[in-house]
Amino acid sequence: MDAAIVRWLNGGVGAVPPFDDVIRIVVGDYFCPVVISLLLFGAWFGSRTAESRMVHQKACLAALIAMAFGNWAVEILDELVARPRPFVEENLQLLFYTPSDPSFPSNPAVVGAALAAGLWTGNHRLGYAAFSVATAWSLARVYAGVAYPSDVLAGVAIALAITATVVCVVRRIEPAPTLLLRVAQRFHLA
Amino acid sequence: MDDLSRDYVIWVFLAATGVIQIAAAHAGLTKLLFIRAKPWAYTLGMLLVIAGFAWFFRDGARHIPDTGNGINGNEQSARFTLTCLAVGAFTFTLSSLLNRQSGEEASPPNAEGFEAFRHRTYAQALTHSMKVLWSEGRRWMRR
Repeated sequence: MDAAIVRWLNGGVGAVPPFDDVIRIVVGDYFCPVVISLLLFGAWFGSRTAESRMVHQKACLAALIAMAFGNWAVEILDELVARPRPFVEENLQLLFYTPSDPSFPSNPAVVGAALAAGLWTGNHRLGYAAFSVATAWSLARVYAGVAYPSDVLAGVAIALAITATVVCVVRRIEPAPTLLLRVAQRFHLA
Repeated sequence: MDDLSRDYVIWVFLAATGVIQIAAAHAGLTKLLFIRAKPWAYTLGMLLVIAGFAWFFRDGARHIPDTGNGINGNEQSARFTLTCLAVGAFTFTLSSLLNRQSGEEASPPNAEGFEAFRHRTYAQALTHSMKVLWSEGRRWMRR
């Protein structure tokens, strides 16, 4: 099933060359993470009231912590489940270089979903925008032949579980996050 | 610094500077703006963001494996964070210089953090905060 979806999606490569050019940019290591990070950066500055700014900034901190734990989880799972990439087992048209790390779980899916979910807890609108970019990144990885859909789904599930845990912990350790931001406010950095 | 790393830093610097201008215009933090008129501040912000992306992707997608000369995830996070700190310092400095002529407006006493940028530049706000902190410290010492 997993391989069939990859073959079906990857079968479209070459049909519309300009679309493939866009996918080449989206699937890369730089475009999507920078776009999502810029959304977080904007959320740090862009609130109209002090109260909502505090909520947004706590969400940004939670998103960054969740991303760090997500990367750690990927490293552990890479050691445990050394799943080969789709292009190793299937005859695919690659739109990306051949990554040397295991396929499961999808690291971009974990990073994108963790940042988007963290941001969503503070600002739904920016969160949805980040989720859109993260979804495009993950789908592009499948289309480009470097990840299976199940790698992406697992990555998203891991990211959501970690983000939910981090957000709960951040709320449980109040007033520590508020105090941290109040200190930053003293120097006009938050 | 190789070409890719240099281009990455320039891209993030331009785009993050633009994002601050857009966010500050949206939030009404007028003393953080390089141009006081909000529509022009939005335009400048958008242009900086577009310029950053155009700069980095001018030769198309840059698929360089991180096992080769590419930037791996951890390096990317570090470079992004450091560049954003530099963008913050640059924006605070330039906006303080550009808006110093417009003078310090009456600010409510509880205007802490970014809220102060509605009435004061970063330099004015930081000076004010340090004075408050100093007087609070002296009062506390006397007790």
